[in-house]
Amino acid sequence: MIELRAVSKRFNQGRPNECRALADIDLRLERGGVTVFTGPSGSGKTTLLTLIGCLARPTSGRIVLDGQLLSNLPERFLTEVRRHTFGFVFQQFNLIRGLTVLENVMLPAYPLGRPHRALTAGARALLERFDLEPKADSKVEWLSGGEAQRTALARALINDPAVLVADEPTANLDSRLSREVLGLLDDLAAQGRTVLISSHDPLVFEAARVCRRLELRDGRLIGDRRC
Amino acid sequence: MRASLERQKYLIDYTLASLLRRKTRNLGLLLVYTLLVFLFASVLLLGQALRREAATLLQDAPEVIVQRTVAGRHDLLPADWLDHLRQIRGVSEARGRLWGYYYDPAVKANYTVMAAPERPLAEGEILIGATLARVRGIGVGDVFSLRAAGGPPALFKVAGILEPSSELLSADLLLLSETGFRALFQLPPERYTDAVLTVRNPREAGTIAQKIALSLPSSRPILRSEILRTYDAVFDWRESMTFLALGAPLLAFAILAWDKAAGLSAEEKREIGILKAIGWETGDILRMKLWEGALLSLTAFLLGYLLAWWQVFHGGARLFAPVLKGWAVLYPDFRLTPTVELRQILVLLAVTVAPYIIATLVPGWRAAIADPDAAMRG
Amino acid sequence: MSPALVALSLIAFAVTGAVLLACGFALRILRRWDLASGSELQVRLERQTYLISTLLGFALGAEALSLLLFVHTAESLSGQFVGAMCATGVLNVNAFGFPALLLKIAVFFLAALWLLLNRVDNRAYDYPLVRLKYALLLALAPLTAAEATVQTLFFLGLKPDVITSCCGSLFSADSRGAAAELAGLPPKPTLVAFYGTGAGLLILGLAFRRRLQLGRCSPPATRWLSGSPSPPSSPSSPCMCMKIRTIIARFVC
Repeated sequence: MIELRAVSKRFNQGRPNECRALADIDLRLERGGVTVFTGPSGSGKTTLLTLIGCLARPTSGRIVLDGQLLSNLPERFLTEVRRHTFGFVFQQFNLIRGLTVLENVMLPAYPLGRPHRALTAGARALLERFDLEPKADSKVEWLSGGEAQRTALARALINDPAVLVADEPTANLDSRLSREVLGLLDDLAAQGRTVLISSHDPLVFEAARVCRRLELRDGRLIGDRRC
Repeated sequence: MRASLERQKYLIDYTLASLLRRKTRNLGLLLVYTLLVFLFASVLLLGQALRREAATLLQDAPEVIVQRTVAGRHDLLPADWLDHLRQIRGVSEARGRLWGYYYDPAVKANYTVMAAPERPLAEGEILIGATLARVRGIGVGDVFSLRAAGGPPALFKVAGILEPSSELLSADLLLLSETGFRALFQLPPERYTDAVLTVRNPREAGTIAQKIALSLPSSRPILRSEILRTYDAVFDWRESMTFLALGAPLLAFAILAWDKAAGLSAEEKREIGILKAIGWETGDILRMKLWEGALLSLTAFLLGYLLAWWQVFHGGARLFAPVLKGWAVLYPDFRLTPTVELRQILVLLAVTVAPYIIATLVPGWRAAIADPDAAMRG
Repeated sequence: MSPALVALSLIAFAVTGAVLLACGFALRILRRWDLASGSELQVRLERQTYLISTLLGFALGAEALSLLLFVHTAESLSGQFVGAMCATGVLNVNAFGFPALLLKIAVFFLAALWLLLNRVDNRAYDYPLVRLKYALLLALAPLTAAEATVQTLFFLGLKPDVITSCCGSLFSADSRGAAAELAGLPPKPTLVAFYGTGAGLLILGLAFRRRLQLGRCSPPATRWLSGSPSPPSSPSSPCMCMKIRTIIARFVC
């Protein structure tokens, strides 16, 4: 369970262009299910997800993961937690050009030093699950949007994380592919993983098995609806 | 332990792939780096080889040489000194030597002329060095004329050419019989150019030299170890001067390395951001950068060293020869013996790899501390 | 003047520069370090710790190289000094020879110690050794500067025609001084003692490591050495690495 207490995030502190992305967020996220963060652009959805997913530290406030205080951990420990607990799918996919699909999927596991054969086998299994096995050795520049999205999803799952964070997963896809991706996210939720999605696409609420909807505006939490 | 080994392997794998992905950029730096290593290595290898060559050849040089000085200048040595020298305790043999210089206006070179009583030479015969034979185009049986001190030219028949293996010392050497020498230079009898001593125990050479200096006030004893020391110092000094002269290219290279490391392309920055976002830690990125530097350095070092090796030992060593051998007109054509020394390699590492590491340390760190959530925003 | 001397001087000044740069950052960290705050300054400071450890790592490697090269060069220069038959003779040419060597050794070991401390400190959640570490670094800086200076003075005082006292007077059995005492001892028992101490240390270290790896949560001081980080709260709580694993396990299952 992830708990946020009075979390704020400020950028460019002390400088004239200081901006406050999040202000006094109090939140409790339980294990399991699909939670969607909505709100207009600039409302702080992405920032909130980076804080929950241990990509950054809050300027003030506390983040607690299952009783363990995370907000003042040094970066290397934060990364350690993140590696094992969170998997990210970015809006722009963010795949490394010049590498093959298989290599991209294996990348997050490199710092963990897992034995090569086991890692490759695990990666190939994931690719097969997402129907990407035939493309395993092709460079990512040649993938279509949907294939790239699924590669990003496979990459997020290589370390078997408990939580999957997807930032605007349907933003660059058409309706058919969007439904496909949401279906995959649904399956993952059904397996017991926690799925956190940020989106302002109404398709997400219709297609996915959303069990909670959090609304943000100007860096504050203004709505919390359970379905 | 096993995990950290695997991790390094993965990092190296990624680094190699990343270097190959940006071939053109890295190739430029690699070439300059290799060139730098090549230059420094050439100087070191040549210097070391020459030093070793000189030391080997001087091994057979006499332990002590005694000269006579008059008013601080070198003068001929009387024969009765030889008897006196033989009587000094520790000296097993004292022999007078006859040698001198001869200036040949035809090639504008100074020959070293020496009397060689141990070789069977008749009065009119001469032995010449291989370089001289090459330059003047003379062979065995030809007639060689030298202008005698008396006036008319003295004719000598070339009885043989000296062995090429000793070319370093015999490049400009002419060997005559004793009578021929004395006739050529009109030397009075019972006079020698200098005396060479053989001592029973080389460690006593210093003491013997002291005794000679005390008993024969106008004498100047020269020890072989002093000659070796002087050669050593001269080579060292020359090498250092060349090193300092190469300081400017070294600095330019360091600036180039800094510039390349600091000026990451947008693509590279994006990559690092992505890596950090998917779970790589700053330490991992830093290690990757260090591996990058290590791989480049290793390649450049090996290539540069091998090229220098080839150039010095097989290619004629033309690059730094003038600086290290000194100016001369007759350059011997000799093969140097390849030598590798740990000290040489350490100096090379210190002068080429260390500056590269220094130049790329801070930019590499700056690249590694990029914020991962910038990647989240695309 | 020899290329090795040029190289050694270059390295010495580079190492001094690196350590001084590290000290600059260290001062800032000592003044403004506040682990509890999530401000951008703190994040920046934490990132700077990476630079400092990299600089010190470089300093260590360079000192190792420099030490080796120094001794080798002294050995090879022995031919140029009358009376010097080995490196000791060269180091005795002027008063700065042995101090330079000793300072080099000191810097090498201190840098290694610092890196070790850093490694241990990094395993803990709350950087417990920050003050000690950076204080040590500030102590290291003048040492490296001294090393560079003394080495330069030594090199400047090397004039090949100077007659130096031979090491015969240093290593002879009847002269006084620790070096002479040690050299005066018979070789076999000394060798046995040397290798024996080394082997004993190695065995002890391995035994210690084995004990810690078997999972016994030992007292806080040794916890860092075993690789499990110390908890930010009371020392009676179980090892942090186990705690993290439990959290992850609970979340997943």
